[in-house]
Amino acid sequence: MKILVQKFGGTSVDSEEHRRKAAGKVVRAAQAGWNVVVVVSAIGRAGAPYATDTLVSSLKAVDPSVPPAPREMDLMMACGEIISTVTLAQTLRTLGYDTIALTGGQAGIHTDYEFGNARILSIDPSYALRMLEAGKIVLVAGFQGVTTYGAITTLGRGGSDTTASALGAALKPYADEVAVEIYTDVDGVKTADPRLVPQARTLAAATYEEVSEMAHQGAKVVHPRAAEIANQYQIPLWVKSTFEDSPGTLIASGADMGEAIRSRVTGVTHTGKIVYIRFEVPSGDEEDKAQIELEIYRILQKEDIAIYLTSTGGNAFSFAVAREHLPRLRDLLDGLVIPVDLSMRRKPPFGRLYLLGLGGGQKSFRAQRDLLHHTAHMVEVHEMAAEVTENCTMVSVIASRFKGVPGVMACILETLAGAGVPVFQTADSAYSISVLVPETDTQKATQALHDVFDLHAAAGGG
Amino acid sequence: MEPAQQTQERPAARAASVHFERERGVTDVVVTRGMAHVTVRLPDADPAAARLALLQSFAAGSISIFLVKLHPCAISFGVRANLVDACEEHLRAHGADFTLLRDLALVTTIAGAMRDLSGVICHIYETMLEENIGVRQTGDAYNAVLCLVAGEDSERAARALRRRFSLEDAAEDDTGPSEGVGLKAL
Repeated sequence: MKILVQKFGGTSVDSEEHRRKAAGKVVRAAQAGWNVVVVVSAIGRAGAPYATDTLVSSLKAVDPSVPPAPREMDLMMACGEIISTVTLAQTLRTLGYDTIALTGGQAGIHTDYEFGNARILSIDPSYALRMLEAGKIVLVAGFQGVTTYGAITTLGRGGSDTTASALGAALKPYADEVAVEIYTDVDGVKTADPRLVPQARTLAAATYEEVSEMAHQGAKVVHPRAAEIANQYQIPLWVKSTFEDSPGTLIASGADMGEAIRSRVTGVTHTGKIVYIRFEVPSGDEEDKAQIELEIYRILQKEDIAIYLTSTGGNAFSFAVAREHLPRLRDLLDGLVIPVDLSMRRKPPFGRLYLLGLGGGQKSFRAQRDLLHHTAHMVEVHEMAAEVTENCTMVSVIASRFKGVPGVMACILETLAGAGVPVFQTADSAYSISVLVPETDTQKATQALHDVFDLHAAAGGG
Repeated sequence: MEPAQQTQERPAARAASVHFERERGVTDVVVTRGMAHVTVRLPDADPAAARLALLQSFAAGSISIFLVKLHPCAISFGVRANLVDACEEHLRAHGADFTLLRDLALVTTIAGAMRDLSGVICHIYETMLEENIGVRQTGDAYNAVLCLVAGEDSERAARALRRRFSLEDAAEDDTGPSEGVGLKAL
């Protein structure tokens, strides 16, 4: 048995015309001899009547002061996929095909209990297999599963992609051949965001690692969870356009690809509206710095604010947060006093107080400074005003194999300097080098890096 | 063929035995020894140009570096053991004002989606402070937090982190981080 899992995103099913196009892809696969499992996302994007965001808003609108229970929120959100799945099933039925629409739970997808961000624990594909063997096209609502006790859960970001990949993995032992196709409104994985780089090219092929890294660094084609599952189970994953007949991008293992793909620069991505914050400890004491750094990170942890691009060294440390957190960060840190090595069992000074400032008017900072002025004979008071760089973004160069190749960072910084783009910080991981640049330079930086690595030219079949 | 018979013929659907997604939170702590850390102080006049010239000279000298961090008037980076002498010689030849710390180790804490986890870095810092282990430099990727510490402290740091993240059973690995973890020569 040949099994093809096809996943259609929200824009692929948001009108009758689009649903017909999506149905056409399913029909073509069925006619080519595939047993087809179709995973469907909710119809449309924010604002559309049954889009996930719309359903969430309607639930919250009952009384904005009372947050819905996570379990009920998931129940509500899951409705969007169920509606689109049944609608597409009916579209296929009108074309003369025998279909069955299933919720995630009916398709055997079992998850943990983390409502809103559940993880797939197991899939029992028996029923879906029986339906395929009976000649039906099986449609499964994406983005959802069910707990042991029957509560509907949603899978969080990238949920429908994850559903498709996981179903492919679950069905693989029962099939002679399995493939997964992710249909979207672009024709494959691009070397850059085409809105920023018009010459961005569609990759003919990419490795699981490349796509996973691209997704983590901001590309919005396939969710990394889906790529990771496909990698784990070695399932070929295709990214294709619902609205065109172009071949799309094949995502597979590097071992199955030529050397040119295994050692290339894959693309340039950009992500996030970021604020970069740097503190310098005025006393120059490294132990004090470690204590202050920890206290700040503790506060951010309690507030559930994720930090990244961390750096520490000498008497300074720095980190980045999503820009949406800046007002809360100012509330938390501006005017904060961190005591270090405080003890009344000795002669004055009894220790050190570090007063933090975080810009934005610094009302709290000024008020605290005035108050602490009166304690100067008892403790050392050090003012620590942060350097806050607002409106940044992270641009990343993705590569399948940079290891041991000197000069890549030099090339990136040289290119950006030539383009007049300042770089505030850098970060490197196994498959990418990222630079923090002004948000206003995102296009310029992306274009310049795309050019310097010659990404508009096809290489090695990629 | 009856559906029941079909079910018997195909492999049993052992739903519970298949793991589709990686675990949440921290999954491993890995130690890589033989690292050095270099801080090069740059002239106040045009630090960006001096930084770029330095990186270009490293590229020309085929010296790979990683964990590159930019500071207002300095640049810092890591160097693997086999390149430390060449790096030092290179810096001296270029008259650089630098500090080089040898015998360090990279302690890498691995998690599936680090940027969705708000407390990992805090826990790492708490652990290092409790153990009185100085962190020379940090770095982070979406799947890892890296801490450069003194080589002699590295195993203690890794053990403490494993305890902190309830990974006592995770095997210690001295062969270097696996693919996908944030260490790379640039």
